[in-house]
Amino acid sequence: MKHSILVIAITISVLLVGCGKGGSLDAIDAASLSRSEPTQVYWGDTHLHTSYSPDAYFFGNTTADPDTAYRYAKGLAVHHPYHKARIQIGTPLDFVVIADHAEMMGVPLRLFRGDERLTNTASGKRFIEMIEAGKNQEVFFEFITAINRNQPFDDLNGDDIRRSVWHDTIAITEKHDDPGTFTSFIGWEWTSTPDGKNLHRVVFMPEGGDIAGRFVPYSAFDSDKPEDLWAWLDATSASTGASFVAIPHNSNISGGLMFNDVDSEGRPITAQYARTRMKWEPVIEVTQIKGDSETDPILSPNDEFAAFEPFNHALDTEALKEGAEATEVGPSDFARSALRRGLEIEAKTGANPYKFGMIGSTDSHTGMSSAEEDNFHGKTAFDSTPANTFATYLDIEGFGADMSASGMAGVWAESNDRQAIFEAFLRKEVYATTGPRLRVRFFGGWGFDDGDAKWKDLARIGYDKGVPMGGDLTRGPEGKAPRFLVYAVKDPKGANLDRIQIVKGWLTASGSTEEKVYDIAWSDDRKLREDGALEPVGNTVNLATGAYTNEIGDAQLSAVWQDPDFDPDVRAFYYVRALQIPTPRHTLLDAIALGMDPSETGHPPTIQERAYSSPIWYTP
Amino acid sequence: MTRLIREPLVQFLAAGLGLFVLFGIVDQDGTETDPTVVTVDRDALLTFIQYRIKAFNPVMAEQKLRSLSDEELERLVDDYVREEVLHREALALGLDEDDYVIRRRLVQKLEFITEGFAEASVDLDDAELRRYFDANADDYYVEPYVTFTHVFFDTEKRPRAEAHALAEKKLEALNREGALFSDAPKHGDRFLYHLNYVERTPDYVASHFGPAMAQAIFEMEPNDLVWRGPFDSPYGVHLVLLITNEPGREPELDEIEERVREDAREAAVRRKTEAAIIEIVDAYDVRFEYERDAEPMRTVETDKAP
Repeated sequence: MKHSILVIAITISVLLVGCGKGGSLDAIDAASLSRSEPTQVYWGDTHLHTSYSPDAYFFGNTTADPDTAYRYAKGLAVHHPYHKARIQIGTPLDFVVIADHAEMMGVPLRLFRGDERLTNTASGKRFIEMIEAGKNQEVFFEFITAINRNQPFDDLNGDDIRRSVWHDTIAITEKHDDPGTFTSFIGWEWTSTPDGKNLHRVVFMPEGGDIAGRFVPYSAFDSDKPEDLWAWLDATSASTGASFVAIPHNSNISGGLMFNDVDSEGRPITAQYARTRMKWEPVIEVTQIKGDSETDPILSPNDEFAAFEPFNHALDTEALKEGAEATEVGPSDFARSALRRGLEIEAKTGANPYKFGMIGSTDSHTGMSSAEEDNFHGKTAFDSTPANTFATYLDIEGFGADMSASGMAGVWAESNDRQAIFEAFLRKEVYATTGPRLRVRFFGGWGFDDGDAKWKDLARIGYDKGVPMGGDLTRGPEGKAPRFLVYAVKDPKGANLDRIQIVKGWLTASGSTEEKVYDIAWSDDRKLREDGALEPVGNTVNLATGAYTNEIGDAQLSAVWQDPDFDPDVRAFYYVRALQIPTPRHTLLDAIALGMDPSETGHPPTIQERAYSSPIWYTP
Repeated sequence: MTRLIREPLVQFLAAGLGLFVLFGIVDQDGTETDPTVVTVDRDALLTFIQYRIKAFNPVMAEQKLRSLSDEELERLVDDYVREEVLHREALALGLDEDDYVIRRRLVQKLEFITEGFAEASVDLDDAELRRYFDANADDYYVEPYVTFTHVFFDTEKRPRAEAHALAEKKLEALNREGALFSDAPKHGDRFLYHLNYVERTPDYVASHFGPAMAQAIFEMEPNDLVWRGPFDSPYGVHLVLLITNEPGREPELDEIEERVREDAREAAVRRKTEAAIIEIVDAYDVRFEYERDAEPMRTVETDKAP
């Protein structure tokens, strides 16, 4: 199945009647240009911080503001805020949400650039003196502690300054929105961290500055309870006409809170809670630089690929010192266990609070949306250089090395504009990758034929005979099991594919849930072992040079798969996980740059990047 | 204007140096440590090399040091002196630690502060902006782009020669029928990437079709009436209907003024920061006491490829 890399260059010069440079686009049916398939995949990052975020600023990003961030995302060269080299994204993005922290947004940047509304305050004067004495780190800790504790410096948090920063963000975002080519969304991050536990949400909207200018972002200073955030979204939506999507992320460090079975007051989740949550949070961010939240070996002991990029550091080290619990792995902290819990709660209450789609995004604090392992510019500005990757930072040894370049949102939409992309989020026709641009189609239905995976108009067949990712199936024809049409294509600039899997979760008679991972398509004509498992795909990464080849794996995989264990009477969900062949992790490339032995980095030298589709649910 | 911006960079740095001098006077017990003298000797360089390559192996460091050319040695010495001096300055500011990571952090901290001050005092006029733009025009080149559709013959399904024969036949038919852009989906096999390519750059096209075919497409005149090919990609054989081919160009300054201004500002800040650091280093007396061997030794090899 390997493709010949041999390219025979044949140039046949046909110099017929030229129609001149510029051509005649007008003569072409506009629809046929953009719609060779019912939907196209658009790539984006919904979680990007710039120098406006206080922590980003103290992490060394004093220069990459939202304007710089947009230019990097669009493919233009910019200067890195830390080492100042000129850098460029490998493949430009189609859309971005700049999600600076609402808490003290833009305050440090303006304070140290001399905004008199800030420099004339008591706190402002004190911080300037500390910075002049070289006490950056102390200033950083004061700010972060203030934010984590919900105790803002009131004299730096006035309505005037908040409004002014927000209006700057809006203006820059509006300037970069270019429908059809590049979409910029107005958004922010609500940074709720009770007792050091991460409940953060990114919030974004499809409307423009005329609507966004009528409020200031809701922050964790207003409340750290998600229920209060949803109430604010509800009220603000009603009063301004704004639509919102809130995206929870880093459940992996939520200390058991993100996908809990009780609400913020400790009461069991009700149908009302579930419906409100799903109204505002149809999609979660399942993977990002600060770790992967799909699942964990403790929760999925039979899944050989479950141990992927764990991140186990709580956010608020001060709170930890005072006795808060460190991060532990539990069913409230990961997406797969939450999808299962959702079925359980739905069976009890009639509504599913965790019927979410999944995307990835970076959460980069450098202003650079860099999810490319071989072109990674750091979680923070500081850990962007090879030496700093392995340094101790924020009391964590090898802080930068603990994380990997990750997080990309793939969106299936009719066109690249605010409304079309936002609607794809609402219908959950979105998916996650850990960085590479893996194109993944996933449809569920009852009538797919085995041959459908090979057809040229696979997407049209998918929409005609089934529902796309994010959709629902219910009772099918008597005696039939659901069938799934899946198609995955490699990143044009990246590595081949190892396999496509389907992850299934289902409710049992006792009210608890089970999960199983099925291999449904794989590369290189490998044979299944006797126990039904698939041989590993191999590894071509050269540990001395960091190079890999596409001699293993396939450029595309497709299949129609029927659930062999289907029970028409039980609730279930299905999602796709597509794996790449192993490629070098950024720490291997850094180790090579430093002349270090890769085995001394404390991290695997290679990584199997992957995509997670949004699920399709079956409800009897 | 604020206090930060008013306060000149040099004043700030002078204050730092003042502190250090004061410290030097008080600390007279230190027998041979003159705080304004930087001694560059073999031990200092060997230690420095080991920290830099993050491998604590004196033999290897010795080999490395001996293998340096004059130019490389000069650079190493400059780096060492710069780091040593900034480290002492940072210590003078009371940021006292004796661990190498902290030392680098302290140096970076002072560089950062220096840069912050340089940043606040940079203001570019239009002439400077124009000069920067003219000198760096290459950075602002706008890539060429093409719009085309294609009909694909998969070489996974048949040998390449057969795919070529099919393509030749199809080419004749498409041109005879006057097949349009929107007719492309009716013909050929499924291609793993896209059918239509709208305003795509050479890099993008090359990542989907390979560099040779991308080059061939970008060398053609557009013509929306004539299908052309066959072209070979790593995946098979293609017929192409190319409807636009916009050449690359150098934009005018006013189209991209904001970008250029930020880049020019960045460059000016770096120049000023560098100048300020040179000023600090110049206040020190550097005594060079490393005797180098007559012949540079070039035998350092590691088992790793570069």
